[in-house]
Amino acid sequence: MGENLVNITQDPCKMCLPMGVVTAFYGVARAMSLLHGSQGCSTYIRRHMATHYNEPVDIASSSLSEEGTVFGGEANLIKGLDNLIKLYDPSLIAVATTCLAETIGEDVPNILRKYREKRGDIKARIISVAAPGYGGTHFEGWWKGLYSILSQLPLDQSAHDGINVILGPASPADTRAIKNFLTDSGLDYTLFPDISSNLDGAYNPVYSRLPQEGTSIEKIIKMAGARATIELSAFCPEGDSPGAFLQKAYSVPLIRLAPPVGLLASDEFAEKIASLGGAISKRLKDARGRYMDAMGDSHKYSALGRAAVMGDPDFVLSIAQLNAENGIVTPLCATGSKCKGFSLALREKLVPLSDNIFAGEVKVYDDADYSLIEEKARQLDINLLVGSSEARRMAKRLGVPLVRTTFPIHDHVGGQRVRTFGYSGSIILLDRLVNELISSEEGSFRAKAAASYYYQEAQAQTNGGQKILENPLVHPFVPKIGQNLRAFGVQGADDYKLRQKTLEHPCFTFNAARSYARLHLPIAPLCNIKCNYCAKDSDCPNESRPGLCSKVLSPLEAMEKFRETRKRLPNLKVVGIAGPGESLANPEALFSFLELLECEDKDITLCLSTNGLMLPFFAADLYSLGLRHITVTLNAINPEVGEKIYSYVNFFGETFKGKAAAKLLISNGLSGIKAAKALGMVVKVNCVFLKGINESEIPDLSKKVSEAGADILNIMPLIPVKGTPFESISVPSPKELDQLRWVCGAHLPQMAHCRQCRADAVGLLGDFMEKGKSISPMELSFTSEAKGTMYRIAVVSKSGVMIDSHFGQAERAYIYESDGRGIRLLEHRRILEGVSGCGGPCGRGVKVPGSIQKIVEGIRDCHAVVALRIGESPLEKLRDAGVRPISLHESVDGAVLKAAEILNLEGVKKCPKALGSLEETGPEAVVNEKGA
Amino acid sequence: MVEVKTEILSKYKAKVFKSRKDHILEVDSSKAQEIAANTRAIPGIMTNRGCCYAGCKGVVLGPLKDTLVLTHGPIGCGFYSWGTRRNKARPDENGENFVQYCFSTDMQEPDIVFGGDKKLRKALQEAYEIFHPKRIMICSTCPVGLIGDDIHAVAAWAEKEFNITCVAFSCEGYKGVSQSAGHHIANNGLMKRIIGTDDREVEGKYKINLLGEYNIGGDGWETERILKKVGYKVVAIFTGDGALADIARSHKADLNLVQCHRSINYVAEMMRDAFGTNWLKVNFIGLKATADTLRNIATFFGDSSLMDRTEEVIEEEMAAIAGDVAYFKNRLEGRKAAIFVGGSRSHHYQELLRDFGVTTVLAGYEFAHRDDYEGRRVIPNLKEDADSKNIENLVMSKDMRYRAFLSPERAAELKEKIGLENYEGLITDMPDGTFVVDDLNHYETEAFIELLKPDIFFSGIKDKYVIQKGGVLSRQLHSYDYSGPYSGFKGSLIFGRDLTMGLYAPAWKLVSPPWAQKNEKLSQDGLLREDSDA
Repeated sequence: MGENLVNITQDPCKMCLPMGVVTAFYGVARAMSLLHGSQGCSTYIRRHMATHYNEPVDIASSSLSEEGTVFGGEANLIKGLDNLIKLYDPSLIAVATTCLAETIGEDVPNILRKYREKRGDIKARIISVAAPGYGGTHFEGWWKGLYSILSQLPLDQSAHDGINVILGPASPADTRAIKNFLTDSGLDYTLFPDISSNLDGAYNPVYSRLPQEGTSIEKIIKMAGARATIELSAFCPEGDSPGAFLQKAYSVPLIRLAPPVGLLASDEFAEKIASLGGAISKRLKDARGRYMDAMGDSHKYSALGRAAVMGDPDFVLSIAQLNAENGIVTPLCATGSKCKGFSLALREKLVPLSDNIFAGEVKVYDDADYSLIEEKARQLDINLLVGSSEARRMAKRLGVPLVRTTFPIHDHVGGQRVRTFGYSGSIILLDRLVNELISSEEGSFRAKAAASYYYQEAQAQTNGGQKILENPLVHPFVPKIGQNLRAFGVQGADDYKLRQKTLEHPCFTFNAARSYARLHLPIAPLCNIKCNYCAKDSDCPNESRPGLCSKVLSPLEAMEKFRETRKRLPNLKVVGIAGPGESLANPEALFSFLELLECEDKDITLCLSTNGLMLPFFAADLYSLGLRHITVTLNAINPEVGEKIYSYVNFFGETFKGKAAAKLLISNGLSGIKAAKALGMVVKVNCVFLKGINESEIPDLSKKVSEAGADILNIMPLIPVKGTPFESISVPSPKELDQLRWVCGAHLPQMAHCRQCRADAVGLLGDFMEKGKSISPMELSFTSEAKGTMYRIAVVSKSGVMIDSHFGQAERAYIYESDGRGIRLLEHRRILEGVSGCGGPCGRGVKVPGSIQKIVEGIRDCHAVVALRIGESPLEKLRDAGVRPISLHESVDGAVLKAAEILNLEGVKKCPKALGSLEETGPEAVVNEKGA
Repeated sequence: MVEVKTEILSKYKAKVFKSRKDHILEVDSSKAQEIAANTRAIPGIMTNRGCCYAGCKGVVLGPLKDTLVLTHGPIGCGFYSWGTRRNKARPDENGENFVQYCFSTDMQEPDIVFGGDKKLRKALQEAYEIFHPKRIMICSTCPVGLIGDDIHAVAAWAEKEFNITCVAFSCEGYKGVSQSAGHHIANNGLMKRIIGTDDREVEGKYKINLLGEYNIGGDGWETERILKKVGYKVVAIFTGDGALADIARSHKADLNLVQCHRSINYVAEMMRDAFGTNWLKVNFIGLKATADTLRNIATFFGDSSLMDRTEEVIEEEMAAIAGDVAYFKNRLEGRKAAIFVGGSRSHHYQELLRDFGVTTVLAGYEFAHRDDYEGRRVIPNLKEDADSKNIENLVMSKDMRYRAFLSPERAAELKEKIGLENYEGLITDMPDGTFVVDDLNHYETEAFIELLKPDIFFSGIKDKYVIQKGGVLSRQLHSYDYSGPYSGFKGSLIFGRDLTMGLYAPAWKLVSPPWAQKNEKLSQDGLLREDSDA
C-alpha cells in the first residue's frame, strides 16, 4: 500500500499467524500440528513450506465444513485427533485454530480437556494455540507457538547446569550452525525449537512420517530449571516471549540478544556464552578472523550498495546490522508485521553510517506491503534487495538484483540452507551481497565509459557535418530505465522527479493515459526528410497520421494556447512538440518557445518528437532547457530497408537520396538516442509498421534501439494516406501488431496504447476519455480559433453513449457536427416512424421492406453515418446517396471525431443536401437513384 | 491383488476403514464398479485437498489477466494463492496483466468484530484509483461468510460508483468438501454475470472456446498454437491467459472444448442450455490424444477441407518430432507410473505416458466427483448431500440468442461418434488390475509405493518430497516443477525430456556410499567401524 492507501494490501510482505505456529512446532521432536479450520489452511501452508524447505510437510486439518461452522467443530476436531494419533502416534500434538475456528468461537482448550478425559489412555500431550489469521503475522505466530508449549506443558523446575537458547524463525542451516557452536562451547544446552533436521533432512529411503528430530519434550520440560535463557530475538512480542515466561514463572534469568548475524551481534552472543562458562573454541576464533578478513576484502565494493531489506522484524534488523558494519548503505527497511520499536531500533543502527558517508535519508516501515516498498525503493535509489522470493516481481520491475535470504524462497533451491548466523554465516551472506554489487558495477561499466568518453568524441566528429557514425557503438550492456539514470549520474531528487514525470506522462506510462492530459503545440512546420507514407501537403514529419494540424502557431501564440489550456485542464501534465513538421528542423521557433515555457512553468513535463536526424546536435541544448522526454521515430535499421521508406534527407543543406539518405538518418537516430540517454533523458522510439516493407526487421530494430538505451518502443500501424507512395499498403491487423510487439517485448518495453495523435491534440489520449472526469479535447478546441471544415455526421446509437446499433436497426439517429477536433450535438432525429427494426440484439429480426431506404433518406443531409455494422445493401444505397458509411465500435464522441477525420483525410468537400432535395446533389454523389 | 487394498486399509481405525474402503478400487472391467468421491475429507489424515476459495480464486478466477481479483479476508489466503499455480499470462494490448499482483483487504481483528464491508469499500476505491481496472472480482475467505459482510451489495455499489464490472464470489473455504465447490461457484458467477454480455460479432469460421485450460507452464499457448494452425478461431479461453473481455463474447462460439472436465463442466452445460453451444471433451495431453481430439473437433464441424487440414497438421507435427519421441520412448518404455493430482490430469497424463510406453498402475484424483471416475452417466444417480446442496445449482433456460449449430439428427450421431457432450471417466480407460484411489493421503501414498513399486510418481508439491525421499522419482503435475508446457505436440517432448532426465539422473546411482557397497557394517552408534576382518 502507498502511504496514503491503507485499506488495500497490494503484494503482501507477510503471511498469516498459523504459518508461524506450525513452523515452530516442526522444531519439536515427535510433534504434529493440526489446524482447526477448513482444510485449505493446512494445504496452503504445507505447500509453501514444502517448496521452501524441499521436505515433506505434514500438517493435519480438522477439515471443517459448512455444517461445522453452524454446529461447531468439536466432532471434526475429535475425529482429527483420533486419526492423527492412530496414524502418526505423535508425542505432542499442537491444535492451532484458524480464522474460521476463532470466528465461530470454538473453545478449543475445553474441547481438549473433555477429549483427554474421554480418551484417558492417550500418550500424546496436546497443546492448544489460539491462532486467528487476522491476529498477527507468521512472525508473531512463531512466538505464540513456542509460548504455548512452555505455558501448557508441566515443566520441571529442578535446577540443573544447562542453559536454554531460544531461536526466532531461522533457517534449518542457521539452526544447525548455532547447535554446532553451542556443542563446541562445551555447555549443556537446550536449543528451542530445533528445525535443523526436520526441515532439512538427509536422503533417507526409510521416510519417517513423524518428525523424529528436534527438541525433545523431556528437554523442554527441563527448561524451567536452567541456569539462564538466551533468547535470540530483538522484537519478540513481550506477551508471547518464551524467555520472559520462564523468567516470570520459574525465575530463569533471561538474556535477550539480537540474532547473531554480522560481527557485532555474533561477538555479543559468543561473549555471553563465554560469560556463562562456555569455551571459545579455536574454530570460532578462526571463523571470526576469516569474517574480519572478508570484511576487509569486500569493503571496496560494499560502499556501492544501497540496499532495501524486507522480511520479519528480526531478519531485517540482522541484515541491516551486517550491512551497517560493512558499509553497505541501507536506506530502506521494511517489515510486514506491526512492530513497536522497529523504526527506532533500525534507525539507531543505520543512520550513523548513512550520515557518515552522506548517503541521505533512511526510511523504516513496519506494516508494509511490497507496493509501498517498491515505491520507496524507486525514490531512494536502491540497487540491492534482500528478502524473500516474493520480492522477485518488484526486483524485475526495478531492474535491481534480489538476494533471496528469507522465507519463502520457492523459485530457487536451497531455502533450507540459507546461512546468515555466526561468523561463518555472515561471510556467506556478505559474499552473496557483494558479488551482486560487483556484477552490477561490472555490467554497467562499459556503458558508463562510453557515455563519458565515447559520446563526446562522437559529437566532435559529427559536428563537422560530414562524418556520420559508420558503425554505431553497440554497448554490451545498457541498463534499463531507472538503472541507467543512476549510472549516468542523475541522482536522488532529480531522479525521482524524472520517474514521477515519466509515470505521469500519458505516452510513456499506460496508466497515466487515463488520468493525465497532454497538449501538442504545432510550432514546427518545416521538415528535413520525406517519408513515403506522408502526404506532402500536410508536411508530416515522422509519425504516420500525426502531423495534421489546423494552424501552425508562433512561439508566442503557442504560449497563449498553453496558458489557456492549463486553466481549463487541471490534469495537464505534458506539453509536447510534434511538428507538424520536424521539430528539430525549426530550431528557432522551438528554442524560443522552450525558453518562454521555462520561464512560465518549470513543473510541466516537456516532450518532443523527432526523426532523430539532428538530435545528436541538439540533445544537449534540449536537455539544458529542461526537456527530459523525447520520442525518436525510426522505421528501419538497415539502409536497404530505409531506402524504401525515405525518399530524401536534407542534411545541413545537402540532399541525400537512396541508401546514403537512409544510412544517415539511421545512424544519426541511433547516436541521438545514445546522446539523449547519456544526458539522462527518457527515450521512446516510434516505429511505423509498414507491411511488406519493414516488419521483418522491426525485432532487430527494437534490439538495436534497446542497446542504444531506448526505454520504450511504440510500434504503430500505418494509416495509409491517399496520394502517398504507401497509400495502398495494407494496414496490419491488431493481431499482427500485437504479435510483433510481443516479439519485440523481449528487448524493451512496448507501448501499446498509442492513439497516433495530431500535432495539435489536447486532452487525454483518445480512448480514455471518461465522462465527467476530464475536459474532453473537443469541448476545448471549439473555444480556440480556426475551425476546419465542418462535417455533419449521423450516429446510430440507442444509448447515445456508445455506437451500439446496426445500421438496419436505426430508428433514431444523433446528428453531430464536427471538424475533427470538436463535436457538437445538433439534434436527436427520428428517422423511421412506426417500424420496429429488429427483434433482438443479434441483428436478426423482422425486416420491413423499404426500411433501409427510409433510413438512408432520413440522413441524406449528412456527410457520413456511423453504425456498429452496415450491411452490403445499405452500403450501396448510402454510397449512392453520397453519405460516407463508417463502421466503428466505440464511444459516440470518439466515433464522431474519427468520422470527421476520415472525411478530412478523404478531402470530402460535398455540401450536404437538405432532406429530399435530390436534384441539387452534386453529380458524383448521385450516380443513379435506386427506388425503394 | 485384493491383498493390496486390505493391507492398506488395515492401518485404519474401524470408522476410517469404513469410509476409506469405498474410495479405493482395483479395476475389474467385468463388473460395474463404483467409487466413493466428493465426500468430506476425513479430519486428521493429511488430505491433499484444498478449499473452496482455492478452487474459485486460485483455479478459475486467478488466471484472468484483465481482471483485478481482490481477496476479502485476513492476509494468509491472498498471499498463499499469489502466483503459486504458475498460470502464465502475457499482458493484453493495453499492457494490462493483473496476474502478477496480489490484492487483499488484510482484515484485522476489529474488521472481524465490527464487519469488514467498510474496509472492502475503501479497498475497492483504492484499487480503482491505482489501476483503473475495468473488472474487479471479489473473493471472500472463511470469516467473511460468518460475520455476514454483504460483499454482493458492495460489488453492486462499486459497479455504479466506478462504472465497472464488479462481481463478488462467496467462496469461503469451508464451503463444500474441496476446491471443487469453488470451481462451481466461480462457474456460476461467470455464467450469471459475464458470459453473453458482449454481443459484438466474432469474425472467423470454426469458432471455439477452450474451457478448463489454465495455461500452467504455457500449456494453453501450445494448444492454441495447434488450434490456430488448423484454422480455428479461438474466441475465449477459460481462463488461462484469458480475459473476461473475451469470455463476455464466448457465446458467439460454435463449440466449447472442455479440457478440465471437473472444474468447468458447469459452464459447458449451462452454455449448452442457454445458448445452444455444444461441448466436446478434449484432451491435448498426449500425442495420440491430441490427434484424436483434433479429429473429433473437425468431425464436429463436418467440413471436408477442415478434416484434410487437420490430417495435414497432425502429419506435419508428428513428423517433426517423431525422432525425439522414438528416442524418449526407447528410454522410458516399460516403466510404471502412479498419478495423483487434481480432478482431470490423472486421466489426461495416462494418455501421454502411454505414448512413451509407460503404464499407469495407480491413479486417483484429489477432488473429483464420481462422474470423473465413472463417466457422466452416473450423474443422474448422484445423491445430493449436505455439502453439495449448499452450492447453488443454476438451471438455465434458453436465451433469446439460443442457436443450435447442429441438427438434432447430427447431434445424436455425433454423440455416438465423437462422444459429444459426454465424458467416460477415468476408470474405463484403465486396465484391469490397476488401482484407482480417491483423495489419496500421505499415508496411503507411502503404502502404495511400497506395494506397487512405481518408477515414477506424479503428484503435487505436498506429497512430492515424501516420494522423493523414498528414492522414487517424483514430478509435480500441478506446477510442472518450473517446466512445461507439456501439452500438444511440442509439449510432449518437453515431458519426455523431463521424465528421462529424472529417471536417468546420476544422483539415484550414487545413493550408496562406498563403504556400504563394500558390505561393511555400521556400528550401533551409526559410525563407520574399522572392519578389517570382514
